[in-house]
Amino acid sequence: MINNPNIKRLGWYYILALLLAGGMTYANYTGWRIFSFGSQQTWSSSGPGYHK
Amino acid sequence: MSLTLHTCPSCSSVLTFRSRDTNLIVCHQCGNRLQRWDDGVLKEKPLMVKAQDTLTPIQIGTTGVWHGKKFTVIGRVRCLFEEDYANNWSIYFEDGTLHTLVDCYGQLAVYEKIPPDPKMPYFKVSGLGFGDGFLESIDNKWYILERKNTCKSIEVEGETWVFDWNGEFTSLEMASEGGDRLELLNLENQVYLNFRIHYLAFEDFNFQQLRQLQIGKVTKTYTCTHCNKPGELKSFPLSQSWNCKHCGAALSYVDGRVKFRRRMKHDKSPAIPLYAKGVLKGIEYEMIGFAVKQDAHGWSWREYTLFNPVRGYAFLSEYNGHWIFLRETAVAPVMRKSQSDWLEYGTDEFQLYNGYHFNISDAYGEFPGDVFKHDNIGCKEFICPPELWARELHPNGLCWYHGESISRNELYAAFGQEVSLPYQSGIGAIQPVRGVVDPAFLRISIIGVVLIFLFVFLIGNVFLRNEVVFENTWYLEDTLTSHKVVTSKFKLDKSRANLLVTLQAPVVNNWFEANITLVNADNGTEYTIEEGVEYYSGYEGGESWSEGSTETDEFIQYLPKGTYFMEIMATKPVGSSPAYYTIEAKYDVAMWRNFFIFVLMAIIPGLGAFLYARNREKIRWENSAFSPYSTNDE
Repeated sequence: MINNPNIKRLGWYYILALLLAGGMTYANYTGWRIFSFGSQQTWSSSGPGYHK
Repeated sequence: MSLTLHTCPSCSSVLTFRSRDTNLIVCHQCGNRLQRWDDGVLKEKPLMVKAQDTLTPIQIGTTGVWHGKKFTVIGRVRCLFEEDYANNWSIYFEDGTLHTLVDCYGQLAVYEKIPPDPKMPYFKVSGLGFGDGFLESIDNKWYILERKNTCKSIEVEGETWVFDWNGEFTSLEMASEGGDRLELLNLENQVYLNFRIHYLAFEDFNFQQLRQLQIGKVTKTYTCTHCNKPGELKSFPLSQSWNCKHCGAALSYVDGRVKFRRRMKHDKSPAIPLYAKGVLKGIEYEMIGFAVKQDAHGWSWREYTLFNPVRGYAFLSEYNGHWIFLRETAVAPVMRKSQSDWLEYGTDEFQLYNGYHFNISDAYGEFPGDVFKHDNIGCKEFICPPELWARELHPNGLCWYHGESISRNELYAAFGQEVSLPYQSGIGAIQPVRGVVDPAFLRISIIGVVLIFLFVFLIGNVFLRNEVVFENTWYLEDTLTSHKVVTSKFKLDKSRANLLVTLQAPVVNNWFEANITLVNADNGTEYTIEEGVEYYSGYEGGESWSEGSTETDEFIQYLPKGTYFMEIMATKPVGSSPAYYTIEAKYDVAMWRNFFIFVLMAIIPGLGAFLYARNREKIRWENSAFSPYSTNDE
């Protein structure tokens, strides 16, 4: 199994999957909704945004 | 070891028989050939020919190891068949046993005498076609017939066991799926002998005291029967056919004489020059033959014959600039069904890539066997890149060749940068393509990744709180069109988390909206979302319909910990609906949207790799009449 050449050729994919799994875990744990734009407006006294 | 001493009746030299199983000795002094009878009497055999051929690395005195037992070569019987020959070396072991080591064109095997199998008598085996039909042995294995050869004469050397004094016999070689191989001999007077064949690689014998052979040495000179000009051969008597470099005559060595077959055009030059030397797969070869082969459809390819006097022949096959290194081997796949479009060897499955009959349309140099005698040799090629098995059906049986893809860089490294290799186009039959993964393996990997993502996501959800931190219902008067409220404070104590705000209002053919601002009481940061519900229903054409929902929710994402409250500005039209509305805030909630987006991001590159691999494989199979892609795309 370990010597299967396909495993070596797919190394880049397994690394990508690992990074994505890590990203998904982080997003899920911190409540970050990825690729979400505009539905939530934020205002703070020190940054951009508008005060309603 | 028990020695038996005799005296040569011709020159009175002392003759030593080391083995009790040998029955012939050639006097080392005068060359007299003497048969030893069972009673120990020696009888001269003047008609027996003494073997003179020295184009073999093995000689009398060579030692080796087989099955952990050391042996010494003490003699040989050289069998001359119609187009080739084999050396049957008598090998004597330290425990007194005698076996035969057969050396044939670089392939080596130990022949172990066994009792005949009553379920596979000679006459039944002889009736089989080559690779067509099978017989079952006494130990329930099925065997096919692979080769049949007729020996015309024998030559002898040293102390040996002669199994047929006539020198004329027929041999049948059988093979079983498990790799067992048997040889059946039909000798004079209806005598049959059976042997179990044990093929081994040259290195495995650990030979010592081999004959020193030199690459590039001329082994025979000849006079062309067509133009009467002289020529030289480098691998005679292994080569039995060659081409005159002066007039292009294709010549064969038949019954001790040079025979003219036909003339070659000589309009194609080899990319690797004739007699170029180079090291491939760790063995030094000399390129001694070049042939252009053509099938019935006019497709042609080039084949280069390489020779090493110790290791025998190898071949380079070139088509569209793609190269394959091939060696003939008897340790090959055994196909019970000759018409099968696949075969299994080891752990690999080989697919049928090509099936054709070929002729030689042009040639330079020399070749093993009589390549100019037979037309329309049938060949099938099975591929599992970067390897290939080629199965040729000759008049005397099956020949298997194992091929490996070889790169242009390897050829340049072997033969030098001066060779002019043809331009590459397309993808070769067994050319390894960088980055291409087996589609079935890729499919399993993608499914595995998705399942792992699901597992990780579900495990992560176990640690989420799903906690309701605020919930309240407000009742509305009919005349009100807006409603503003500030909620009580609630604490969010995770470093970062989300808040799912759900609005529920029982609207009936109406709408309701709420603008919700979540305010961090510690630092004044505000997060604003807008939520709205609308629900309509009716009865039309005998059927009721509805549209919309009375509930909606929205995430406020990535909130830092702190104390929060909400400012709600709700609006509705004048009327009784809705009579009330409810806001619920749930903290630290799983977001399935994230899961699906990440899975999609994982699938897309895998899908890209799959499509890339499929595209490259389609190109590979473009030159095959058995492409698995032609029917899928219809």
